[in-house]
Amino acid sequence: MRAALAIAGVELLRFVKDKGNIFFTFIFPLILVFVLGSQFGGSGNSGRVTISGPDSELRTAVTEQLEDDEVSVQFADHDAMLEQVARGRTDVGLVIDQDSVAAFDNGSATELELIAGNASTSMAAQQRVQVAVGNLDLRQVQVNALEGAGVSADDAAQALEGAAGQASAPTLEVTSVDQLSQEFQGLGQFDLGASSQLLLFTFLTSLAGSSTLINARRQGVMGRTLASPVSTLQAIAGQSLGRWVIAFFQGGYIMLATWLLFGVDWGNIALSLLVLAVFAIVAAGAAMVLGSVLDNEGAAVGAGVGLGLVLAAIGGGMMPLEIFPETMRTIAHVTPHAWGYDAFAEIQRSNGNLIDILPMLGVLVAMAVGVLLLGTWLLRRSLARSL
Amino acid sequence: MRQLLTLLTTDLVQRLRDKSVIIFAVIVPLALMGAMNLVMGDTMDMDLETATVAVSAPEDDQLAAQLIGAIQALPEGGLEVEVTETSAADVQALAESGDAKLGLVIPDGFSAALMAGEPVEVEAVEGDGSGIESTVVLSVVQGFLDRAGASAVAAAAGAELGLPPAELGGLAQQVATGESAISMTTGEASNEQLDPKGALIAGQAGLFLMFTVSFGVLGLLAEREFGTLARLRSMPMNPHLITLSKVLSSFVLGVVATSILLTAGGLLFGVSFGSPLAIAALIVCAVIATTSLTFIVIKLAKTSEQATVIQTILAMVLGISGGAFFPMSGTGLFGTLLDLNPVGAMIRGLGITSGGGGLADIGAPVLILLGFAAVALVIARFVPDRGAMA
Amino acid sequence: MTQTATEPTTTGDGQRVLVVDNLVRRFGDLTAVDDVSFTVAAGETYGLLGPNGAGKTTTISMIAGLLEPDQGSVTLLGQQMGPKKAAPKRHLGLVPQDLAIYPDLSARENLNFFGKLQGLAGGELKSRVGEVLELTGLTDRAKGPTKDFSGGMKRRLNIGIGLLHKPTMLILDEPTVGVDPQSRNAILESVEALSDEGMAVIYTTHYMEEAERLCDRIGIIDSGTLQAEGTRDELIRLTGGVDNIQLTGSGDTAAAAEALLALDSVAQADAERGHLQLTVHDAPTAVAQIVTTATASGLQLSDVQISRPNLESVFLHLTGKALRD
Repeated sequence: MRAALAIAGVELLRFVKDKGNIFFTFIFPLILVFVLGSQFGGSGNSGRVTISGPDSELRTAVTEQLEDDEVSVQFADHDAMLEQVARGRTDVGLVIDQDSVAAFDNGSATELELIAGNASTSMAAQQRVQVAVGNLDLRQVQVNALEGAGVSADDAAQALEGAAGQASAPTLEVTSVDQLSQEFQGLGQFDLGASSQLLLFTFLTSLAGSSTLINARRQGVMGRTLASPVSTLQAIAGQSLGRWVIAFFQGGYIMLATWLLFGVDWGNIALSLLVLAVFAIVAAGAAMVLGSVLDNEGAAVGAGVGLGLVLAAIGGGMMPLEIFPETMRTIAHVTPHAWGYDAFAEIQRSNGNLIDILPMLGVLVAMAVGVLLLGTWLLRRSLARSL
Repeated sequence: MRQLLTLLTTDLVQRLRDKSVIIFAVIVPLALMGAMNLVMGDTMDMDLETATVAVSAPEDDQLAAQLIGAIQALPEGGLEVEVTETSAADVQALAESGDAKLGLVIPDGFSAALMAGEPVEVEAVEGDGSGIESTVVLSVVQGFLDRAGASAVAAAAGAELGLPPAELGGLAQQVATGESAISMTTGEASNEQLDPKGALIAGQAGLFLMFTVSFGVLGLLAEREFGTLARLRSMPMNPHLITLSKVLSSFVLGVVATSILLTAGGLLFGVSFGSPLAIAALIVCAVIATTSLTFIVIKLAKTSEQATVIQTILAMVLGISGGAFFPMSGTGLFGTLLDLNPVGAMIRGLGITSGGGGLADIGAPVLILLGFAAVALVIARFVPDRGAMA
Repeated sequence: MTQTATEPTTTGDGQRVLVVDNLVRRFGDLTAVDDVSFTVAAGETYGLLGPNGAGKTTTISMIAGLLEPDQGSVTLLGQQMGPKKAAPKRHLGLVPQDLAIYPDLSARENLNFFGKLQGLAGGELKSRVGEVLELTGLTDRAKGPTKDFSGGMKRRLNIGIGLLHKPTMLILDEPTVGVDPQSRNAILESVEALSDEGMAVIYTTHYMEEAERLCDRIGIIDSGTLQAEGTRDELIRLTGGVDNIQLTGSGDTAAAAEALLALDSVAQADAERGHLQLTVHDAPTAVAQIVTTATASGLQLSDVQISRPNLESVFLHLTGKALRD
């Protein structure tokens, strides 16, 4: 055991000495958590509308109506607005020109130009603009109707004021039974991104680290280690332990940093760390496999990054598993990521306890044993092969 | 010239024999596109589906019928609607099963309560798998309720003012259907957006272009590691040809890999990017922009590890902020900064070509790309040389 | 500074191919090469002998136009050499100290590539590549990637590339470092052959045996300065040119010493227990007479050892330290 620990210690030292690792291990995951959180997380978006035209009462009125409806409104000049619509940076453009402003101020009829974006998502925003604009002069419509019935405009306005104060407006109460939105209810802005990035990066870093194993074989360090009174098993245990420590350390760091910086709720810390620990064993074992199969450091980094990204994409490290089509969701569970994702979901979202995550842990442990055995066998074989 | 060609071809031969170029430039991005396409298949299909609405409404209720009518009138706006009238209990069940994207429960005595100005609440249940479609319908319902509330207020005001009760119904009707003085016309903007699949392909192509062009720099550092750099410098030629050949090698690899990715991605996922000529121009400009960055890396990196690290940082930062994984949007200075990103500019340019734009329409992204290249070269000029050629 | 044993001798036809004039190169505070001058003639092999870090490779780099000298100049066939001077480089073949070949390319591809850069083309390129493959004994392995080569094969190819364009001036920078004795001998033989064909060669080494065997003239370099230069014999004369003979045997060593000192060839004789240390002029000629005289004076000889000064002693004499420090 002492020999294995010594080897693991050296591996950790080599990792820390490589400055490039600092960015990818410690800074990059946090940037991604932040970007994902700020672009996707948080409150639902009811569409984006860009209004062009001078500041005016009409513009203010429309803006208020839209913002009441939780639509985000921004202003731009005409060309910029058109560009935003064309590029999909806003859902709907609305032109409130000088003529309309004047018409609105003196109560005459006017037309506003609505420019809808090409994406189908703009439809909801279009509808909201229609409603908002339609509501602008409701009071005028009411007054007109009363005047038609022979009431003076002033009387009509006064009576409407009183009636509006007494009547309660009909309301629309929306609930959702959509599994997706229920699933994500109560998740903080950065929570989902943090757990997927945790899985993506611990695995990817570990795989890319397989190059150090190749390097150790190439430099003859492995051979020298085995020439000393250290069994193959000890050497392999040391290498795996080194990779595991790095993966676990990085994962733990991501958990701590996202909690401190973004207030990510990791649920029951002990359980989350347990999931991470088991997941890191799988990652370490996979690195052993990769490091034994390939003989070239460059190719190992390439294959490690590629495989790390692809497995993460399939396993819910990039998009939530919940939005996957049914079959893909099943396929996703060939990756350890999907099981880790499920376990974190259970802990973070439903306050799951050890019993709840036992199935996921079980599968991860089985995977860990599998890749470690495979890695051991392959590494033994690779040591017999010259580089 | 002949020497440059010799340097270039030999370099390319070696890049191809060292499989990491092929892995990074073609295989990994295609695999990622495939994986992301698989997992996002449905969500990327952005065609609006039929809005299935389950409604439970009191019988013979005038306003409830009008509300349903307003929903059914939606196809005029471009959304297919299928309304099923059923019981309140079924509404919930249909929504939960996903058979209805939206369930609406209109309470008994809806019209009466509304006209009396009494509190009345329409319940809406967003069903499983609901999306844009149910949002649109909800907005219609909200608009209807606003109108109906206003007409109730008008009727109440009429009663207050002593209008005969017989006129009140007509008055309410007038408000409910009265034309607003402000009407809407629809204008058009050009379409410069890629659909989600197109954005995925273009984004991955842009991101991995950053990696592909880095192989030129790595080649230069490899020359040093192989010891061949000294030998090359003892050859009867201008030593700048060595650097130049690596940059050209990056350029060729970048153009070829990006062309492969866009073509293969387009074929595999059924995306058309539009005019081949304009696309070719964009690819060339994007490769020039990203390759120009390698001049800076050449000056900074002493070893291939350092070069890989610097290049990967650049690739990830520019790739993600350029929208390689998901569209990034921003306003003001942030938005401008995003616009100046070479990966973003390439995606934008491909958006223009896919929307039918030709050579004449891609001026902005082309200028951004070439401007980026110029700035990178100027920076490279002033960065102190501590890298491969130092 | 440089001790020149005699006026620079030029062997062969005597045409000066390379003139190195007062080269200086500094790296920060360190003056790596300090005022080095020498010339090399056609058919001459010039050795630069010095320990690691003496400034050999920096000097070579300036001669080959890889480095710009801070002062001084290098002239090859009358043309000024420098990093951006393409013309004189055509006449130069460089064999760098470290391997300088592409591992992913085959031997033939490596040769073709560097041949083209040297300006060879068409049939000439093809025949030269064939000749060099033959010369380096790599014809059978011309197609496989060089990363599969043995160390010796890589070394041979590394040298072969430098010969491809039949340079007027060949520079070999420590070509035998880390090479097995057999390959090493092959390399030395081929250098001798090239010199015989009239090629001017600069050969850097820290092995004095190689310098003694190959070089017509030798420059001894240390701490960036050329300490002395000349033929082997000229350099040895700097040490005083005396040989040592050690006689071992039983008998009256003191009497024998006295008898030997009477000989013209013996300059000094010291008797120790069982040994006689003699300082002698021209030991090979004198040894027979010395043995006869010693035996005649009653010494029963069991061993005679002659040691003559070598470049090692020259280096020790000039710098006060051993060559392999």
